[in-house]
Amino acid sequence: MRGKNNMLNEPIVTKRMGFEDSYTLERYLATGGYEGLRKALSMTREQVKEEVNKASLLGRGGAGFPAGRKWSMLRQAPTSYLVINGDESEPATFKDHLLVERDPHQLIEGTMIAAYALGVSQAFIFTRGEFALGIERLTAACNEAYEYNAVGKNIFGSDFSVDLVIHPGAGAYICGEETSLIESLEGNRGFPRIKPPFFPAVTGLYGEPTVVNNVETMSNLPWIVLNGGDAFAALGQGSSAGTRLFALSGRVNRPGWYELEMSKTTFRDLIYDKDLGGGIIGDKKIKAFIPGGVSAPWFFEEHLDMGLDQDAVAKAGSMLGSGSVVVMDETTCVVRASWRITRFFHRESCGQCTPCREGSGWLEKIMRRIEEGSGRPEDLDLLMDVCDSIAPGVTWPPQQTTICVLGPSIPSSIASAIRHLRDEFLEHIKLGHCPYEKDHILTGAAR
Amino acid sequence: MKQNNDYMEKMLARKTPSTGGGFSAEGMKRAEALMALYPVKRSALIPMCHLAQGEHGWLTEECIEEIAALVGVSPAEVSGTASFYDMLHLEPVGQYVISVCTNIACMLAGAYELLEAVEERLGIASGQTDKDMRFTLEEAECLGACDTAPCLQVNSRFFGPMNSESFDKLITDLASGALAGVVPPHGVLSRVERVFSLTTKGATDAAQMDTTDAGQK
Amino acid sequence: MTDTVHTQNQAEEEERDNTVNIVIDGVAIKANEGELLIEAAERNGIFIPRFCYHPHMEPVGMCRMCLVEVSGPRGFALQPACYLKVQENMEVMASSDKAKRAQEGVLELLLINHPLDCPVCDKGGECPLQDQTMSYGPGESRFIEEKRHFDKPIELGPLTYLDRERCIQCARCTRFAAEVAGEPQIDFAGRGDMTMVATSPTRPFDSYFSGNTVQICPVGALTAKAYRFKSRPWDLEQAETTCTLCSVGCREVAQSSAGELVRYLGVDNLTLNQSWLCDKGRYSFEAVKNGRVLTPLARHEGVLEEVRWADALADITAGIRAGLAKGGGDQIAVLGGAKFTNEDNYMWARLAKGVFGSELVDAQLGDGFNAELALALPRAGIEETVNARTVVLIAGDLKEELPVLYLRLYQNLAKGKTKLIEISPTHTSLSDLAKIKLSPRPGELFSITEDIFDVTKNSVGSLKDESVISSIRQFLDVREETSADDGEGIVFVVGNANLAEAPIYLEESLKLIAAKLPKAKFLPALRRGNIFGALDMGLGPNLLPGRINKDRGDFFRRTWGTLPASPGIGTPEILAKCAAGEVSVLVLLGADPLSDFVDQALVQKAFENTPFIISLASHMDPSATSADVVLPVPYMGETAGTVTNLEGRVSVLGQKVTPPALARQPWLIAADIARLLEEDFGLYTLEEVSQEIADTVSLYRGVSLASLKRFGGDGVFVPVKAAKVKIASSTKSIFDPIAVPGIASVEEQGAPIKTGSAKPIALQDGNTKDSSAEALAKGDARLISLADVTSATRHAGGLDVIAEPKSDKYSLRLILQRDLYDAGSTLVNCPTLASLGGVQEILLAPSAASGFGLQNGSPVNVTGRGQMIEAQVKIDKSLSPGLAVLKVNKSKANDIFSADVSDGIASGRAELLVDASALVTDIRLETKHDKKKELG
Ligand SMILES: Cc1cc2nc3c(=O)[nH]c(=O)nc-3n(C[C@H](O)[C@H](O)[C@H](O)COP(=O)(O)O)c2cc1C
Ligand code: SF4
Ligand code: FES
Repeated sequence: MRGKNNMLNEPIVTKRMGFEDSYTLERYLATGGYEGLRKALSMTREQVKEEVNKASLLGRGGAGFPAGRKWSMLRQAPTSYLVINGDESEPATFKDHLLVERDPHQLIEGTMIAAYALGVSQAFIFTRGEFALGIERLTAACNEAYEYNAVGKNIFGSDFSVDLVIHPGAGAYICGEETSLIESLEGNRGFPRIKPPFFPAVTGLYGEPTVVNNVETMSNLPWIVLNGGDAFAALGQGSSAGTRLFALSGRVNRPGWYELEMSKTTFRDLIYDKDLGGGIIGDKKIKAFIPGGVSAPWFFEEHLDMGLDQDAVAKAGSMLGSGSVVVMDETTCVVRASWRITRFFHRESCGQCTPCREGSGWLEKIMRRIEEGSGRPEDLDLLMDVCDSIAPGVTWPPQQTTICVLGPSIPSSIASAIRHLRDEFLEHIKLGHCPYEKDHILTGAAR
Repeated sequence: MKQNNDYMEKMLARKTPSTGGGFSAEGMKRAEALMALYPVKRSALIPMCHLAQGEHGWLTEECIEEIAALVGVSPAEVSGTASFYDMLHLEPVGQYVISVCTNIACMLAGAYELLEAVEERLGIASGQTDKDMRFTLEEAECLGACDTAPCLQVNSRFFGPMNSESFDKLITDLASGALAGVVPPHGVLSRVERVFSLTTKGATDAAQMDTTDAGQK
Repeated sequence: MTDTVHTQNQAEEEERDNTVNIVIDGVAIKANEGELLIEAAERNGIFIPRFCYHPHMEPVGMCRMCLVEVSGPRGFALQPACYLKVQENMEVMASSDKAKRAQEGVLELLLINHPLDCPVCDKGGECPLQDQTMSYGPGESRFIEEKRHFDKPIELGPLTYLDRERCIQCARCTRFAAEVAGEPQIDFAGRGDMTMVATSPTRPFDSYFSGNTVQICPVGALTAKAYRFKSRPWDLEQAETTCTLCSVGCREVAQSSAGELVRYLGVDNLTLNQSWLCDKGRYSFEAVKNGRVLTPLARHEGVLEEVRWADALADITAGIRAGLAKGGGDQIAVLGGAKFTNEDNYMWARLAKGVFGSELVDAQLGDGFNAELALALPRAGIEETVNARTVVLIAGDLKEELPVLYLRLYQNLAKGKTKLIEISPTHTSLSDLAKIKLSPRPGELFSITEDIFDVTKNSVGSLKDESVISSIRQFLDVREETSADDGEGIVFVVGNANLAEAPIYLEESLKLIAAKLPKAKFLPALRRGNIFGALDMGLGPNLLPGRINKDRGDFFRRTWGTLPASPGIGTPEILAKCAAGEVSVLVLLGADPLSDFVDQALVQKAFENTPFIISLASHMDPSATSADVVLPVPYMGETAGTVTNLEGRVSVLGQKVTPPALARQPWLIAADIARLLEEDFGLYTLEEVSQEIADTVSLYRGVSLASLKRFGGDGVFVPVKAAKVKIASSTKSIFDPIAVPGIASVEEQGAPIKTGSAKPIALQDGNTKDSSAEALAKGDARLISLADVTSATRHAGGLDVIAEPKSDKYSLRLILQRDLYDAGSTLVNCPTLASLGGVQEILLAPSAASGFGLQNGSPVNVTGRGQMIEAQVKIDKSLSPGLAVLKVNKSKANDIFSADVSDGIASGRAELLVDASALVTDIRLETKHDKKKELG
């Protein structure tokens, strides 16, 4: 996987990516591995939590909820669980894939630190099933970590014991949603749970309090414990503290992962800097970009100078989400791009809620019809109206008629495209095909 | 990573998907070990489905019955649950399941053109299996390797960026066995097995485990 | 909402005042704490549209039809009213623009992929989706794309079709299967809009309860093989009635079209069947048309020929006269009654006991236990049972015998509302939920019961299952010192779990339990339809109407003129008398001993040696075929009157179709025979009979057809605690249009339910003559009590004989049980059910099977009593090695009439192996060659 972190003085989660054998225990130990866990075990649970609080570590799974706050919500109970969300399936997101496959020990160390801080004795890492090599390496690392006594009974001679299970997913995007993930981990179909209860921290796995955190969130913990929460918070700005792994893809010269300081770097840097995205293929103009995974409303040229900052992006009507940025150049067919995203949601809707299950399919069919040349001008209003049935008002942050937020994510791309590029839609409808067809290097038919 | 037990060798040596059958005796033991990992045994349902696919290439009816009996649910619940997941196949699939990503990032890099080339090369449309049961072709959602767009997976192992030429070479390499060390038979998710269980935590136990079949360093 | 249980609950609730204040659409409403918003709204007259919500299942909030705006920390948000529990000060906007918009949106989306095949859909006209589209839906479709397509209807199981295109993924059927029936044979498969209901690839949907999924499917996705394309709701008429196939007595509506019975639907009541039915009951309407006795028949020169009623009755009177002349009432035996109404049974009891003077009268055909004991045990209701602190099951498999009782119990056990101790010889459908499971061998039950209550036995170490027994003691709170509180909150569900074992073990155990736990209650699991009505009306040995022992029968001696002198005996002894040639006339009241009595050799002999056999039969069953006179009587759905279920709940049968032209109600036949014997009862209409019961039977005081009809709904319990009955609108819940769509829409379309008017009445409304009060006052109508129960009729030698008999090492001890789909007349006459009977299987322990070299499916011969039958081996891990299990009446359905006893080999009828007078039954196995293999 291609990527870079040399914009930073000291990368946090990607520092071993330069090594071929970054995933082995040997390399891990040679590069300061498990020192964070050792240090954590010498601290009290409260002290560890305090460092995480000070770090202002926002969850890296998409919702951006502060990890420290989430931990403090864990209901006190005799049994509680820690579940690491490595189901990463948000289109254009490939950071957890990297962390699982290339630095599994760092993930395990972070998980153990969290388990210690939370007083949990059973942890699970739910890994996307398609990451077969990652699962293999994580399993190997888990075996190694047991042998090294970084996991298991009386870790490093302390009286803290924890069992870790690597759980393979089986291919369903919705299982990234934390309650669906819990259902899946319980051996069920991945139907998100209906609220209330609102948080797994109250009622989660097997009905017990459960913390669900993202892979990248965990991978930051060894560094935070070693260097202190303040050091982490000193990077970035305000609530968007530390570094973040951004996944850049689409019509750029240098797609890949980039670990960047939050806030301080702008979208323009990410896309155009010669050391980062390296600009757009063929020096074309940018038409739109997605700032945080396909669930997020699109951004346009006017947003380029915004910092990679959670609050700023939210204020502008979108989200940093999973930290994946997709670039569409001036020749990209917006109908086709938003159709393909809609098709994704249609295929991945779990099927519980009528608006999401049926609405996604209807939207997909209309979009495809337009793409294939049988669109009608009135389809645009119809599209917006169906979107409204799923997410009343089509606002951001969205309102929803559904159980989980997959539903209201569906309108993001459609509404962005129609609201901002309505003329292109109409042109497409009028011509019966994409106005930029001749500019496409690529011509394959939609299906 | 060394995996030197006979069971894994057998799984890796499987040349064709089976036409049916339940778990092998060894598979049954592993299924039980999987259940022991979880506080509630139903949690092992999906891992056991993967295990069944590792043995047969797909989730056979016999394995559905056996899994149901093991975790104490009905066969309909096992097949119903499994059918929710894209990776679990309730019908036989080819020796190689090729999943071409066409989601946004790959699409912007020419995924549909790649898919067309693949279809042409394999002589099957996406969703189909060739009659020799060699290849099953799927159009996949984002596989999480967008920096190598357009990408595809063969039996959940990544290849990318791909074009029609590199795909031709991939097919040739698969046929010649040149990729045997990279691409295991369909269904084998991890060639490394967990050697610890809830009852064998910690270094002392690990040392003992080492002398058994799956010991690895 | 009909009975005391509910009113008590309400009273309690009011006392605790656990109400919360909420506001819906600006109206302040009091709701019950923990109640679902949708229910609170509905009770206050605000109907929130819904699909996936069902009152008797856990909410899932999936369909999103019930979205309303609810106030929360961040202002109003759309929330599913079916899932949200009310909370103090909750503010709800159920009809705001936003809520309306959301509901319309959901409806539109539900319709986009829904086929427009209402005209050919069974559900058309009674479809909640159709109805709500009319009320809330958009005028026309904006969906111009191609709809989702699936292959046409698939057969999910032998009784059920699934049309996946019509499914709206509400999960009602799958929830029913998993949550209510405890058999998740169907589940969702696939994902997103390809989510469908499916079985596993390996097994069909062959639950006993599959029909319920059809009933609650809010669209026409699930349809019943027996009803497909039969009728349209606007052509249907309906009457509320009671199913009389088993003694649970589920309330249902019978629907007919053009005078033909086409469907039964369960009525949604709170305390009985909650709208559920078993498939046997639901689809039994088919038997109305098949195999009927249409005219009176009499045997002339060995052949049954059609005769006129007058001639048949003349034959009968002559036969009875001759019998009476020969030896009085002891010459005439009357068996059966469980298929008849209370009115029928009262009249036959009066005829048999008051006119014939016969005590050879029994409605049970030897498969239950001592009737006096069954009636004397303090009775529990179903609601009380399923909510008991502890339920002790000393009976067979409820799913096979009393299916809907099983459902009710299963659901509460699974939810942890009650705990189960199971003392049953085999693994039953509830065993997996039992806290304690004990499997007594045949003949062992009484000594186990003694062990449980003989606290001193602890130290001796003589207990068989010491730890199990001590935990049972803990659960039952058995102590050395008994107090009057003992047994409080415990309900024993009791029945004969092994028909090849004398009931004395059970009977003596029950007496012991009742003595040791005076506060415990019992639900006697006597299985036959209206068996409790029959026994309550006096059709049992030593019984008189109203659960009165013959010894206290002065009142009836006065009113009826005479009572039998001899002591009463049960069916096995009666049949033994018949077999010995000591009986001249045998009257069968809907009874079919030739296929429905465990000791076939005895029945055969009884039939051979009884000169005159009269059968009142709806169907031409084997016994009718062998009778001398056969009288046609109505079948379920054709009968009016009242029945009594196992709880003692008396309810009204709604007659929906007319019986065959020449059929007569049994009560009328009794009146005719009495008149011909010059004993006119002076009762000429059903209402008069019913009124006589209300007047003279103290237990049924005031409970007449007339009062019940006005009272309506789910019936009343006897004895009526009149002062306490405060009846609310009894049948309201059946009108939840989505819980029971078929019933509500037929009602709406002009065929209101006949018996279900909901006017509250007081039962003691002056209709009652003084006679029963007088009898009560005199003390000679006291209900039978345990002290009255004469010691068990058989083996009266005392308790020493009931130690477990020894068996030899070559034999297996037999456990003979019932299953729901036996080859009785229901299955034989219902085409869609007929194939479900299956063959005789013999359950063996793995070691026993391997000892004989047998595997699953191996054919074997089973011998005993000089007879041999065929069975197929099924290995059962839960069985202990010395035992074997067979089922009653288990020949292949078409095989049933050809059971040829003479040459010793006959079908699979295990009843050939049993001696009704023995304590236990031992059998032997002979392996045999697979005939098919030999041929091939
Ligand atoms: C449809 C959907 C998909 C999601 N997918 C993922 C995912 O793949 N990985 C992930 O970590 N979080 C995902 N989330 C977010 C999780 O629900 C959850 O917020 C997150 O795992 C919490 O971890 P964090 O607090 O460390 O970010 C998803 C949420 C939704 C609604
Ligand atoms: S919104 Fe969609 S994905 Fe989420 S629970 Fe509802 S149907 Fe499933
Ligand atoms: S979501 Fe409430 S009735 Fe379906």
